[in-house]
Amino acid sequence: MNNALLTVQSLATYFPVKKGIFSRATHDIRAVDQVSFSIEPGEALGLVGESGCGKSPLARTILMLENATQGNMFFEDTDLLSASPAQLRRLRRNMQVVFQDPFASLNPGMTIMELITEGLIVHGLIQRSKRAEVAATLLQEVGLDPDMGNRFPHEFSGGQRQRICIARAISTRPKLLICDEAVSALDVSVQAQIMNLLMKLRQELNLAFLFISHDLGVVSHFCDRIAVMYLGKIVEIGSAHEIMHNPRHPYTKALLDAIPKVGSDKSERLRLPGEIPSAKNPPPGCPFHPRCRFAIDSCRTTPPTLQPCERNTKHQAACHRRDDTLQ
Amino acid sequence: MPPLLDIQNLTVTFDTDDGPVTAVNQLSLTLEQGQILGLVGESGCGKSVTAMSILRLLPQPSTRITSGKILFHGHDLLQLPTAELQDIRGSRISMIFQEPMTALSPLHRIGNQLVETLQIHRKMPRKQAWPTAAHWLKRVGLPDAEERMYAYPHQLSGGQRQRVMIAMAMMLDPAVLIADEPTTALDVTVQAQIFDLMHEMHKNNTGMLFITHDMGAIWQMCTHVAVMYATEIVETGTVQEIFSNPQHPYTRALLAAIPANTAPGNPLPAIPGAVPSPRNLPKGCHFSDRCPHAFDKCHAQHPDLYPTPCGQSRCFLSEEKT
Ligand SMILES: Nc1ncnc2c1ncn2[C@@H]1O[C@H](COP(=O)(O)OP(=O)(O)O)[C@@H](O)[C@H]1O
Ligand SMILES: [Mg+2]
Repeated sequence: MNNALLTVQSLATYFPVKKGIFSRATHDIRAVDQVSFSIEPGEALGLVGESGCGKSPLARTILMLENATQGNMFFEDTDLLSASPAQLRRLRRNMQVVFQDPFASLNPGMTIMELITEGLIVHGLIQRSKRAEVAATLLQEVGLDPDMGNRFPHEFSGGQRQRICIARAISTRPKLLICDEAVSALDVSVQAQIMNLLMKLRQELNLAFLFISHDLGVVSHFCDRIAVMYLGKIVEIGSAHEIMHNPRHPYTKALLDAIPKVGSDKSERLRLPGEIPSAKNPPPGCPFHPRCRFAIDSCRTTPPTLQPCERNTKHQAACHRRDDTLQ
Repeated sequence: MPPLLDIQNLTVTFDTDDGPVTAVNQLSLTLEQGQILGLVGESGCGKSVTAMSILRLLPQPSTRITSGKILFHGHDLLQLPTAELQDIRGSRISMIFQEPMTALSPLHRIGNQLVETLQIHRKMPRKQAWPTAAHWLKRVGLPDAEERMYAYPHQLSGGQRQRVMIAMAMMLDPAVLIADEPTTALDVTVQAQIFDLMHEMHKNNTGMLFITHDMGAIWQMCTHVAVMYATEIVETGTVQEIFSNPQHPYTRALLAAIPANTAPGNPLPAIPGAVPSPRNLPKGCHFSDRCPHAFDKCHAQHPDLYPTPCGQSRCFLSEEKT
């Protein structure tokens, strides 16, 4: 028995690739490959990595929008992959999502009031007659004018629309909020406002987060722990402080080094050579070895698994040389 | 020596269904030899419109340049006959965009597009142009460059397409490169590689106007900065000075809002409100309704640019200091 809110064990999501119209699938894209982690109630776990590394497929698998190929997922004690439709419906209100593009995720024909109370009606949590009242409270919670319920999404700016999406997501009082690049498209000044809103809601509602972003600066500000993904796998996971200040996987180091930070030394930066290989035929051994300056023979043959760094079980890296001081 | 590029009092107005909208107002910028000038600001402030004006790439006839000059080697690009401008485009002034697809033809192989550019702008015979183009693709780190000469743009990733655009710019060795958010759509490790290539062009004497919304990228890339807010320049200076001693409250607020400048988990010093639309600018200083330092005059009167220790600031507080 553990008390984690979300537990993901050896999860894999493969997408079949078809060659030609009539042929059967020839091989799979391993979008999510043997991923394990858990999130405690109220905890924020950040998920970072570059485009195509599998962040969104992982989120979509957890949200049951993609089929898991293998593995297990538990929300509290419920097994998500064998739950009945009725169980899943009840779970949905505990696990909500905010996507990057609020333009795409808001039905343009619905009023703001309808949009943000839809979930409550579907789950039978409020009566229709209470809609306007509840909507006004929700709007206020996300820092919008409570009187805007009768207006339509197109009347709002990008930042305001993201607030509307957040109001909708928190309406059912979820325990877990999955944010997939939720602040990435926003300008810095608006991004800071939305981050502040999410931090406020996190405290007030004791929300747990799976916070996905390609921006390590944003993630390290918001999250307690960070997981780094590369080619469908988690290559490093640990406290935000450890990941930012004591990264052990060469890929994490390269990622940190590539961020243009104000005030950083402009000359001494390591460059990550080459490109991310295709997930269609990942390299043997460690998936990062073709780009790694520290690769040794075992890296080319034996895939590393997540192991504690410097005997700290809370900080793990999938690197044969994680404790190598030369690295 | 005259500046490489000298924009004087540029005003750009669009005719829209709801009447004329001024997107860029009385904007002046100079790019000197050897500089990488950053133009930074939030979306909609007018950065791209400024950049597109330089090579007259804005849609006609809905765009009107109602005032200003853009001098390149002493010639006003805005007055130049189209044929002469065509000649300068690409060969003396190159431009790269956020989405390179806009500048590449989807119907032609990468190699042919590079070769044609060399034929037109460098009068190079095809036989010589093909290996030259392949050489430059290799130079910008495109894997399997020889093979990729035969690829169509859609067969490449976003980062690879941007490398092609940079190869196209580098092989012509332009006097000026205008880069409008060239890495915004790319991953940070790819961005770092593209920045290296741009630095290399700079070493080979190409002056640059680098447009971004990312203060970190400005720090990494630029020698000088101009900060734009709601259609106009609000502060200019050297990178050192703007980051260590910003004068305009908007510049200060932009820098403060970067998460790295606040301890993890603490509220970020966000700027209240939202960027005003160019249709609906506040009277007086455009930043006055969001500015923590605004006083009566700021709401009533529009500030000019006033001198600062190493640049200019459009703020009455800077006026008082002078
Ligand atoms: N072709 C156009 N017609 C009408 N308005 C335009 C056009 N292009 C840009 N604008 C407007 O001009 C303003 C400045 O836009 P732009 O220069 O693209 O901003 P950015 O600083 O994000 O690059 C915006 O309000 C935009 O909506
Ligand atoms: Mg732009």
